[in-house]
Amino acid sequence: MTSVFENISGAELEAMDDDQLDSVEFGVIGLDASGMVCRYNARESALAGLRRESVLDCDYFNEIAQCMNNFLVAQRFEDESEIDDVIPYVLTLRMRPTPVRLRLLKSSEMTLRYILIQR
Amino acid sequence: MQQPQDDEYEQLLQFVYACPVGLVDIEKDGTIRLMNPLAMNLMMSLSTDGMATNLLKALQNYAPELRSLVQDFSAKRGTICSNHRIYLGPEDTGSSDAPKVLSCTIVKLKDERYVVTLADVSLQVRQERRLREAETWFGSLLEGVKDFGVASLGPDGRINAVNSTLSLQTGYDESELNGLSVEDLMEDRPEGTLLSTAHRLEQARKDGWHLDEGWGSRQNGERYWCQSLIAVCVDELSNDQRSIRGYTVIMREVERRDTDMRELKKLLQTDHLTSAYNRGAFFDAANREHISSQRLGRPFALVTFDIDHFKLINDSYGHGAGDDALRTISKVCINAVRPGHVFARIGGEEFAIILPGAALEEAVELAESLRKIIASTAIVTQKSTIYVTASFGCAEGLGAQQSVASILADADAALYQAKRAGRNRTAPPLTANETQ
Repeated sequence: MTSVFENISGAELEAMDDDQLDSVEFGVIGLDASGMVCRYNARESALAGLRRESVLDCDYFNEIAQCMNNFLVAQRFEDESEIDDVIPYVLTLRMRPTPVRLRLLKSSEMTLRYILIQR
Repeated sequence: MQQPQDDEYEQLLQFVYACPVGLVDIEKDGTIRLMNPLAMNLMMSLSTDGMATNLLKALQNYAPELRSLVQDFSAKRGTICSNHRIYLGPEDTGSSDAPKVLSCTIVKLKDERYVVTLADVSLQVRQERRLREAETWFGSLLEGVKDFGVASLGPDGRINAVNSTLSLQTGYDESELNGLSVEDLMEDRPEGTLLSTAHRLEQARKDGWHLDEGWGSRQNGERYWCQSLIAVCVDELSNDQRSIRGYTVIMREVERRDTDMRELKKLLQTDHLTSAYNRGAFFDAANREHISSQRLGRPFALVTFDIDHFKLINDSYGHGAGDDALRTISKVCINAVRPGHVFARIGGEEFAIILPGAALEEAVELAESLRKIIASTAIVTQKSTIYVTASFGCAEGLGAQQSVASILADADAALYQAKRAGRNRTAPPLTANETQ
């Protein structure tokens, strides 16, 4: 499980259909260049307590995850052209401070930017 | 994990996730039970490491009074503090949009249940300060003033016309004044609180005007206390287009000591317990010193110190004794630092001193002398007389190479070393040839 979280490539993620994305054991959020949510898997939906259809097309860093709207996450997606990095983080999932690991993925090869969340 | 079924629950979650105010639910000791994403984001800008588990602990170094406010609130329920300002750091920390001032409200619902709101009010605080200054200035504009010196500046910031009062006030005749900048009419003060004209014009372009006060310099070398206002003259080209035609400068001679501005500033800048400068004033002064050290290419040094085992004093002798210790130590330090030094309380038991124009050695010498004074000072409390020690960290910054935040971090790292090496000492230590 850990190895999939750490090793899955951006291309493999993009190639997955929604059912496949729902089957992975970590949260997956796909954002377009303006930060709108384009993909949102079942695991993340359960962690955050929000249904996919409520989240799609939301401004992720302003409406859902203001705790990532800073230089550690949101700013990096703006500043860096290529990211593949795992960082320890604390999220407020369903209002509970929760330590997680985030993997940030961005590449010129990919259409979306991805945040993977492992609890 | 199951998909949430309840629409209302989901809507509630979305509401708190998107809420533009930080919301936290804590226990009496500060343990966090619930918090929304914005609160977490604001807490991440605090320099505390690891998990966000305790709010009062995380804010300890910035607003130590919060803990006692919460612990001492004996009513069953009610508002403990409302829009209480928490000063986080200097204006140049990291990314420019990191919060500098938080506003905090705490309401007690019942024992062990407190609701806290946090909001970033940095911008508002800055605007307020400027407005207060302007009000004071305009308010006293018509009192006890002989006359106003007025100059008009071109877009390049150079004087192109003056009134006769400005000639009288400065001792230069009109032709001599033409072509000068405002800076040329002010004394270049060694403590360096004089802002460059370029910086003032930039502020004026941003806000419409800029106020400053300082020693003016007459042609014959005499100095006089001078308040000056720079206002922008614009041509409105169309609705949202404008061009800057130039600036108007009003310079007036005032009595230095009895201005309202000084009194007001003192009130805003002082820590109520110790009469030292407060955290906000410390960062203002450090930023000013940083700017002038860049301009003049000179170093400046910081000393930070922390009373050793302070918690033990509070625990063994009570909070009153802790306050006595803070007051006494502040008093002896304020008497011991030189004029021009800024002595401030920047945390619960943490103090800092700014030494304008000083290099590291001078800071270490000052730290050592303060350390000895503190160790030999009797602190008289209600119950007994006690002695305390303190650990010191020193650092030097030189102009553009470092930010205020990084110099302060260096001083704090040295302080930590001093603590680890056994307390009641200074890091870095005096070098051998300085030791007597």
